[in-house]
Amino acid sequence: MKGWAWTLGLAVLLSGGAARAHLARNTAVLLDIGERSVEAELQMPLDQLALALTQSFDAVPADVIRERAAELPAYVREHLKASTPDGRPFEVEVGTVGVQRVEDGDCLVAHVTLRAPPGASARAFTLTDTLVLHQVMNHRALVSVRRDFHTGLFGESQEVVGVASAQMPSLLIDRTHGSWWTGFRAVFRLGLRHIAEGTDHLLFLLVLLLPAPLLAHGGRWREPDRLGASLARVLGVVTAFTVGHSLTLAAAAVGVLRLPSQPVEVLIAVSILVSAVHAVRPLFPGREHLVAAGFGLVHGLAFATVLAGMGFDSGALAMSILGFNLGIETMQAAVVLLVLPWLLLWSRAPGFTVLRIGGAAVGGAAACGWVLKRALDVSTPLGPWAEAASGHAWVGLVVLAAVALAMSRRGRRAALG
Amino acid sequence: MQRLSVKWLCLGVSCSILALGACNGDSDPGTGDPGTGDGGTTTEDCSTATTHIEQVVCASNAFLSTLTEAQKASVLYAWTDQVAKTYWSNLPGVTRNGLKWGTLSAESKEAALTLAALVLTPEGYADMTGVFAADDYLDSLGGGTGGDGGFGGPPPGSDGGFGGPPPGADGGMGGPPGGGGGGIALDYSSDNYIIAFIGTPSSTGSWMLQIGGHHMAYNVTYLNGTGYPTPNHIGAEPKTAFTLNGETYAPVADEGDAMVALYNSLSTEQLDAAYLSGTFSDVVLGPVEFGTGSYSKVVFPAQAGVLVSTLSESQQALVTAAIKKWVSDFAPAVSEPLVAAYTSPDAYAHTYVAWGGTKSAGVNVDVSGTYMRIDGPRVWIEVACQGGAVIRNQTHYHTIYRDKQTDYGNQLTP
Repeated sequence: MKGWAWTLGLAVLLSGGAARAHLARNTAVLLDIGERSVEAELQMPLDQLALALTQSFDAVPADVIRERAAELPAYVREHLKASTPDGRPFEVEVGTVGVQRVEDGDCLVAHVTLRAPPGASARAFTLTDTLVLHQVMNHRALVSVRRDFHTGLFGESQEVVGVASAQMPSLLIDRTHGSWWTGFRAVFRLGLRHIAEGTDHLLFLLVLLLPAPLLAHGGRWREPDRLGASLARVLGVVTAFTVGHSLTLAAAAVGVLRLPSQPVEVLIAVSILVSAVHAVRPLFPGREHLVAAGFGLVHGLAFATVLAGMGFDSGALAMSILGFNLGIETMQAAVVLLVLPWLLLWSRAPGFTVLRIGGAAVGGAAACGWVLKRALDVSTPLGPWAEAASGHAWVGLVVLAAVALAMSRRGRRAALG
Repeated sequence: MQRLSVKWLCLGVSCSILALGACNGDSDPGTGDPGTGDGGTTTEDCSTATTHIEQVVCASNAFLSTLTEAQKASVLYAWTDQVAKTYWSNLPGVTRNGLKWGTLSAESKEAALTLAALVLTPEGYADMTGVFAADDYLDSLGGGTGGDGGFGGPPPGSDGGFGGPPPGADGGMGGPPGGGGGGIALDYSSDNYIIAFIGTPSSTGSWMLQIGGHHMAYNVTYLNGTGYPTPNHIGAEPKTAFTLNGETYAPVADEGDAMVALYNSLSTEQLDAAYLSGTFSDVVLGPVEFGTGSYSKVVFPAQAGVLVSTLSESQQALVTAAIKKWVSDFAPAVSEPLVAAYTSPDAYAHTYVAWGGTKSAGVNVDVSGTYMRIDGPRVWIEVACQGGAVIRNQTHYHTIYRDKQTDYGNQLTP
């Protein structure tokens, strides 16, 4: 996230975001590289575009763009070209063209599809961009790759690959150095990181696991369950969660399902709260896997925002979903394997209730903080506190293990004594 | 009388320091408390050093000796830091290297000005202080606080809206965009100008002095004692004379006038032949390499215009006069070989003058988009006239002076 912000900051700076007081802001060209086609997003500063169209410093940019709206797609079509390294032209299809605010200034944003000729790859091509700079001699277009599965670019950071100017409007974009394997590893790592850094996802899982070794009786958590039954329950919960989030992740990444992120984020916080209450008093004993599956659907929607926009290339998309999901599963499995043994051990010893209630309280407090923040934009120290604490997760794990061992030994001694 | 004896004392001290410096290349760092600001006691008189480079190194070390250890750490960059060399810009508010003027003690400021006065000629020095003053002038007009129609004014003393990263990181923007009027607040002030050293000042090694800020970039690279003053950007709003605190400044007016004199001397046919098509909303080769540490984005256009060698003697003299307006801002030891190289008959056989803008308006610096350039085998000078950012009803100048062979001393090559 931090890296993304830096890159964006740099892009803004280079594209002349700071230059509002002056005239020279640059165009940004963002490329999403596929196997057979490239999606390009062009962000042309309105003032420079108006200058290119009218050659007049007195024209009001917004008026010029409004008056010429009908001819703008053709203008883009005329000034953006791509060809294979041996000179065969790509097919250029101009999609939506409209004015958008990009950072601190209005831009004409155009979406263009560049399709490689039959038999050719879209991974290496010559881009010729003369938009604006056919007329404005000091103008530049900064060309960046935003998405490229083969080199592990998934839209969260951009790689500047060149600059087009009136002097050199053509540049060779060569993305042949990546591979499916590189991309797969990168998206797998992205999945790992998403869980490792996604405090809310982890907390949901951990809080749900707290009462897993126990048996519910008459609306209360009672004695430890048999080991086999506990393990089966944990397996059921984790599998159900996985099935749930895989379904919505795939659906949202493909574009079948679209939900605004705010309610999803609120629901995720609610899911932690529900599992925290369940850890104190059994709300749905024996049906944990159903709840996990249900909330898995919600968490999957949040995962999908990471992959949003990869939908232009089915091969890369399938690999992205698979790799990202595997990354998530691996990290989940690692967390469960690290935590579960101590939970099972301690659950058969005295004092487990303290951990269960305490853990639920912490999870519940963080969840309340997130609900307030995400639903009502009320800042509390609870959410940030939980996120800061998650940075010391290893310490927590060691303490858990140590206490679990100590309690277990004391319990055994008491039984013997 | 007492003054004179102090001067002699200083002279003696600086001579011995110079002798020491010659031994280890590092003069007495000094233990003076910069907070007291009672300048004069630790400032060395570097004018007694025999060569330009010795004077500049002496003055650099004298400046460094006024700094705290923490300040010194943030003013000095490794010579190998190519990216730092390219952190210069025409813009206000961007992250630059080094220490800001506003953070320097009175003693440090004086030592920095002494250094600048050695690197620059009196004309160059006047340009520098004039550009400082121009920012204070814009500030006095309310430049940072709504004069630009929609800029949210920053709190006084703020960093112009950029929560910048430390130099060396990517020049990112920290502040979130504000509502409505645009995200970047501008703060015009002479306090925002910076001084930085890339590499350790020495008369035999490689190092670079940067003094810069809004509308100003002095990047002087010294290689084994030879100075290379480019890329050099200077601009000013307003482009004409202005008065601040009883002083009158016109930092870039003489540069503009010299160019106008040249173009006014051209015949209709020559002007026609020198005309460049296209629109110029700024100079072509401004800080295009900002933060890249490389020459890859510095692409000079194909030469175009009227060959200087085809001009009359008096017209050629005006070309030379215009070139000198930029190059001779730097000390003679730096500028004289360059002026000779740029204005030789050989060079003029491959040097073009050209202009652009509204053709019917002619070379009129009061018209937005008017553009003038001198383009030789080495020298590259551009002047662009653009609408004011604060003084909206006037144009102002952006100028750039580059050397196609020795920008950054030709040291960016990996």
